[in-house]
Amino acid sequence: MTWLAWRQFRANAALAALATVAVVVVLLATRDRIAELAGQDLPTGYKSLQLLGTALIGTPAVIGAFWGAPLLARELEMGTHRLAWTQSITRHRWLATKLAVAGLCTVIVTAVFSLVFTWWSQPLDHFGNRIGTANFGQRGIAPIAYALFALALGTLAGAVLRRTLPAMATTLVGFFLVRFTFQLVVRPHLLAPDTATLPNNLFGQREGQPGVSGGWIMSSKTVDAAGHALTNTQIDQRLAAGCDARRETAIGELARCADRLGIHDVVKWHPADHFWPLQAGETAIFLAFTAALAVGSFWWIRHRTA
Amino acid sequence: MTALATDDVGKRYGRRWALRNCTLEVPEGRVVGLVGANGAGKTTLLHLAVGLLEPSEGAITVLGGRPGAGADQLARVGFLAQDAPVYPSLTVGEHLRLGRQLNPRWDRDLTDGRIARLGLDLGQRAGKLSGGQRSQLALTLAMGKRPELLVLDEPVSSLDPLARREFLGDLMELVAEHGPTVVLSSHLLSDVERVCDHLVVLAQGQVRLEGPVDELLASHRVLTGPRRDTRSLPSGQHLVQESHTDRQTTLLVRTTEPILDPRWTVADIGLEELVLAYMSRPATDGPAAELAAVPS
Repeated sequence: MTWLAWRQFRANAALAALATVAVVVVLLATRDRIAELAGQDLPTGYKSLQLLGTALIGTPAVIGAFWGAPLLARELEMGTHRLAWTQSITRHRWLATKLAVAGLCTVIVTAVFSLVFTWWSQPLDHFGNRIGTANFGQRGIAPIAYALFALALGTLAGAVLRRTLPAMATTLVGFFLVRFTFQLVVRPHLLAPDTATLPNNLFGQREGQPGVSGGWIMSSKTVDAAGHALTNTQIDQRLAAGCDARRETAIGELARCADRLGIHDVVKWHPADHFWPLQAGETAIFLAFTAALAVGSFWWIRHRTA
Repeated sequence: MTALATDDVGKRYGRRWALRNCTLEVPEGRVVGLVGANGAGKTTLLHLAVGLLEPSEGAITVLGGRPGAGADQLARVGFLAQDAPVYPSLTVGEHLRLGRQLNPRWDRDLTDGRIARLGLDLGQRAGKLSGGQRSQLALTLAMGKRPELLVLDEPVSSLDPLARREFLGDLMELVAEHGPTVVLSSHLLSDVERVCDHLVVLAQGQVRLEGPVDELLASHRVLTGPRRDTRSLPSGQHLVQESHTDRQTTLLVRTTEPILDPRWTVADIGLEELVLAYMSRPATDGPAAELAAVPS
């Protein structure tokens, strides 16, 4: 069965190998330039990073749509499942083998992308962060879990819809929906964020602000000594009333005044060392989704398909 | 042993019953023709027999086992699905490799010999084959696993008359040589008549008639005579179909007894007329097989 599964998949694998080589070559060629930009022109460097990161976000979706969705849908469309399922092999073993071949290729491709992307963006990591939403999902182990999830989603969609194109569309929409809902709603709560208490940054004017860097900021608010949150207007009023100082006043004086009044910032954030715990949590959850979808596919072809 | 036995089997798709109250028993060693109009439930019954479908109610037994219950059961049943599906991008040779790797009892001599005799090019992609060649390839795959039961769903309906004749001739040769029980569905009665020795007639999801062809033909008579009431038939004669003109009555009756009434002109019936008579009977409430059962 492995031979048949590979024979059916090998054109996909060849295409994926080409795409992987192309991406790796582009990254190898541009790595020096990124290192250069990191030293001179950080904004352009970040723009490149974002561009590449965005392109790679789509990798799992493409895998789900082009490998997962046709895996069963094409067989069902052409009627070849009736040929395959009446050989001397159970359809569960047949599907397990097909999924194993596609899954293995998925792991290889996404792992290579993740490694190369991590290496490529390293020069920028000294200045930015790798935990923020721009590229958290394209590095580490999470992208592998995303891609396996997309593959399983496509497979089940193909089994249920029995047609390749609708299954591909469903997979694309479904994957991005889950992926970004998860990023917005679940990921921040996978791990309790740290709370940092910092001197007020005075609308970004305070110099030498220690701040939080290399981390993913969840929320930031300015509070008074009693811990009540302050709006910008209230901060202005407090500063004006409390120390005869305004925004126009010399920053150093204003800073001392704010500190004396007890006005400070409270920041909830995930520091850089939360990267691996967050990656592990997210990977585990997406692998659980993957398992559930795969079980759904096995059940569906056993009981709902002929 | 029975090759295929169903006990009150039904299969429902949503709210529609594709097959209902289906009870039949096919002995081993027969070539069974399953006939019925399109939508009569032929494909559903065959899919149940090869384990592609599970019945919604009732029980089905194939060669003593539950269809599709495992690799062993699958190995005993060969299936040629309607329209002979093959993988268009795989070559003829790769299809043989597929069969060899997925079937432990694969008969390489049989398949290689057959492909050579058919003149199929091993390097040819299956998508480029003609309809007749594709059917032959699919039949080769189904036979290559050396099944005890070979199930064919409309194997010749998409073929031209010449290819049809060749295919059926080939099939009969294989059956004579290797001896599996065969169940084949068709809506072409002439094909069934040529190759089958056992008949099952399905209409509207129910079995209307079932039995060995010679017994069925021997137990039905066409009676023609002056117009008369049909309620007074002797108890041994079961009315299947009646038609009347102003002066004449024609009846199809099932009986194993001689026709004694001298007013009838008695004639034998052909298979085609017999099948059409049963197919056009209105649906019955009870299990149809009971009505159709042939007294032995």
